[in-house]
Amino acid sequence: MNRLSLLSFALLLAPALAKDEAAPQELPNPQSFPVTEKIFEVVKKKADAPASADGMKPYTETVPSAKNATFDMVPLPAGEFTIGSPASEAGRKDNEGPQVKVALDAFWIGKCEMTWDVYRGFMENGKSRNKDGTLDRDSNNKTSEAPEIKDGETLVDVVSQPTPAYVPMHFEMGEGYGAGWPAIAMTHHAASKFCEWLTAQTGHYYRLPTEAEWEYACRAGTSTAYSFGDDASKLGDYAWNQENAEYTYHKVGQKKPNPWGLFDMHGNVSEWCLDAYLPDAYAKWQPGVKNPWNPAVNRYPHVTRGGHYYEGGPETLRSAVRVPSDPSWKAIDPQNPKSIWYLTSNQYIGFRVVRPMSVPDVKVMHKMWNTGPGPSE
Amino acid sequence: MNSPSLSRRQILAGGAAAAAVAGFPNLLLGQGVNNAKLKIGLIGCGGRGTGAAQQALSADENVVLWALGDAFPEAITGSLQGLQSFGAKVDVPAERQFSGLDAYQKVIESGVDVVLLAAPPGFRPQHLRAAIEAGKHVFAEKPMAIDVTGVKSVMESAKLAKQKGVAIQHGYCWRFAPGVRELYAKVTSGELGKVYSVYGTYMGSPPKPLQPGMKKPDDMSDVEWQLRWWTNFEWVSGGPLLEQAIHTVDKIAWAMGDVAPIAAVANGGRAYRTDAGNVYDHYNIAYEYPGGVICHLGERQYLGCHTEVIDRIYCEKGTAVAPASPMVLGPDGKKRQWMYRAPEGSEQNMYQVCHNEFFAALRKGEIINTGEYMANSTMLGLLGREAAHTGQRVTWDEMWASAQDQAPDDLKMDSSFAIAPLPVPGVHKLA
Repeated sequence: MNRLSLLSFALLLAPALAKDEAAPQELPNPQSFPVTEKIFEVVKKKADAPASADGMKPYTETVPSAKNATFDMVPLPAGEFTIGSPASEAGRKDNEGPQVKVALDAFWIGKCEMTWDVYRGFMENGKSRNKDGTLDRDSNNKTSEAPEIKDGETLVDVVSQPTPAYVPMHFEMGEGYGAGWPAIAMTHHAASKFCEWLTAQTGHYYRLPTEAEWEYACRAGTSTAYSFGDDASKLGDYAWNQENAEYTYHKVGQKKPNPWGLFDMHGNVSEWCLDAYLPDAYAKWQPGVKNPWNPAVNRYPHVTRGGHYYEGGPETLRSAVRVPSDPSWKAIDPQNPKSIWYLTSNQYIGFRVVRPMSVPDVKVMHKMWNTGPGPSE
Repeated sequence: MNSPSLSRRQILAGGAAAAAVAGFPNLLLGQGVNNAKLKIGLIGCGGRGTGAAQQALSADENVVLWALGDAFPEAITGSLQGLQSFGAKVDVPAERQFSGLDAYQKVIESGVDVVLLAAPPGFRPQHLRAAIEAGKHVFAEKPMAIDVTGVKSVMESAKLAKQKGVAIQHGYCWRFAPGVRELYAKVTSGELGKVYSVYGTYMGSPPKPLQPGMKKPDDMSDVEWQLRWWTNFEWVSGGPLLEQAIHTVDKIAWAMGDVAPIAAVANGGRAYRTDAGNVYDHYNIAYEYPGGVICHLGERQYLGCHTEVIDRIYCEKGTAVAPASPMVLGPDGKKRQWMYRAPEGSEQNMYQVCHNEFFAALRKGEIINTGEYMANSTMLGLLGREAAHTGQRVTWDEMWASAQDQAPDDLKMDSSFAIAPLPVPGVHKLA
C-alpha cells in the first residue's frame, strides 16, 4: 500500500466511520493483530466510560504490572480549535501552517508526562524476549515467535515489550528510575506498545495523542504563543527549559499547569504524538475536519511536541511547534540492527497518554498501536 | 612504585596509542598515506559485531567486507541483512561465509587484511592469537579474556603484534567518547590535582536473561546451549563484571593513569538470579592503589532496584563525573564547575570514532597497539572478580602468578560441557 492510499484511508477514519473495510493483511504488524483482538475484548468487557461526555471525571489509573504505580487522567471536552500558528507569531516556522479549524471528540489526557514508576514495569518486564518484543520460546532471541498465551502467562505478558536496555536509559538524571521523574528515550514504537500494555491490564483504551489532540490540550482554549500568553519571560513559571533546567529533566508537575490543569506541556521533556510528521499536514485537512491524524507508514519521522529542558530558545516551547523525529536519535546504539525500543542518543523525549471516550473499531485500535512497516528499523 | 608490574604498565602511561613501528614488512607500512583496498573479516556476527562492521565500513572509503564467521550460520545471514545498505562494500559470497567454532580460522585465511573480533570474550585470546600470527590488523571488542591464562596469551599476542608490525585497536569505547576524553584528560593531566578516590557503578539489568526453570533442549548439545545464552555462563562471558562492567573497570584504570593496582578486596554473589547459569549477579570491589587511593566499584544486574552507571572521580580540586554528562563538580560536591557540551550538530559517536582513528592510522602507516593496555584492564576486572569469588584479599602479583584457565581451546559444538559450580567465597581458590 502506498503512502497516499494509506493516508486517504486514514482520513476516512473519523468517528462517524462505522466499518473498517481493510483486510487484516493490510494492517501493520498483522502478526500481533490476534493480541489486539484479545485486548479489544478486555476493553469491551470493561466498558465503564460514561454515556456522555458530561459524565467524564478526572481519575487515577492504577497499573498492576508496575507494582500498582498510578497516573492521573484529566477529561477534556469535545470542541473545535484552530491548529497551527499565525504567520505573525515570533519564531514561527512554515510547518505550523496554514492554520485550520479542526474538531475533536472528548478524551482524557495524562495530567503529566508518563513517569518511570509506571514505564519501568513495561521496560523491566524480566522475560527473555525476541528483538521484536515477543516472548522467546525457542532460545533464539533473533527470531520472532507467535504471540500466543501459554501456561502461566497472561495477555499482558504476550504484548510486545522491550528487551533489556544495555545501560539505564535515564542517563543518570533524577534518581535513577525514581518515582515522579519522566520516562524518556523510548522509541515511538515503544511508547505505542506501552499504551497497548497499559490497555491490556486496565481495560481502558490508551494510546498516544494525535497531533491535533496534543495541541488542543496544550492550548487549552488559548490562541497565544504559549498557553499563558505571548510573554516568553514568564516561561520559567511554566516550563523547565534550557534557561532554568540545569541540563536535566525534572519531576513532573512542579511548574504551573495550563488553563486545563495539564502540567509540563511546555518544556521538561518533548512528547511523542501519534502522527507521522508531514511538513504540510494542515494543508491537507479540510476546515472542520474531525479527529484528524496522519498514520505513519515509516518509522521516521513522527511528530514530537512541546520543547524540552535540554536545548533551544523560548520559541521552541511554543504551543504550535512541531519537531520531526530522526534516526540520529539512536545514533550510538552499538548494535546492528539497532534496538527498536531505545533512543540511545536522545535524552529529552517522553510522552503522555490519551484515552478517547469512545472506543474505536478493533482495526483502528491496532493501527494506532502499530505504526511503520513492522518491527524493524 | 617500583614493582615490575607497575613498570610494565608504565609503558602505556596515559593510554597513549601509537607504538614504535616494528621490523616486519607489512601491507601498509613504508608507503605513507595510501589507499590500498582493505579487506575486512568479521568474526562474531551478533548485534555488536555487525555494529562494528558497520563502523569499519563507514570509517574508510576503500574498504570491503570480505568474510564473515560465526559459530551459528543464522547469525551470518542476519548480519548480511543488516549491512545491505553498504552495497558493493559488502562482498561476502557464500564461499566466504563460515560457521562453526573454527570459523575464525577460515575468516583469517580468506585473504583479509583486517579482522574484527566480536565473538564472546571466552574466545578472544584464541582468535587474537590466530589473527596476529597470520599478520592481520585487529579490532578487538572488550574484554580481552575471561581468565588469567587468556590475559597472558593476549599479552604475548600484543608483543608478537609489535614484532610483526600489525595493529590492535580496542573496544573500550568510552576512551573514544569526546566528552569523556576531555573530562578524563582533566584528571590524568593533574588539572584537578591528586585523585583521592574513585567510585564507579554499573547497576542495570541482565542483558539476556535465562528464565528460571529454563533447561537445555534435549536435542541441543551443552556447548551450543551455553553459547546461545553466553552471557549467563562464566567460561564464555566472564560474568557481568567482565562482560559489561568492564567499562567501569577500564575507566578506573584510566582515572588512575593506567598504573598497576596493589590488590583488591571484594564481595559478590548471586542473590537475585535463580536460572541455570553460573554467573554472579552483583559485585562490590575495593581496589587498593599506590598512595592510599581506594577505587570502589559497584556492579549489579537486578530489576526493580536503583540503577545507574556513573564514574565519580574525587580529586583535590573537584569531582569528575561521567559518562552520561561529563562534568566537574566543585569540592562541595554540588556546584558544577565544568560540563561538556558537544558542539551543536557535531556530536560524535564513540563507536565510530574508534574505527575512524583505527583506519586513519592504518592509512598513515601508524601502528596502533593497545593490546597490553587491554590485557591490563581485563586483568583488573579479573582481580576484582577473583577477590569476590575467593573471599580473599588478592594482589595484582598473585593474579599474574595464577594459572587460571576456564576456556577450553579445543571445544567442539557437540561436546558435553557441564556447567561449572558457582564459586563459593572462602572455599573457591584461584588456580
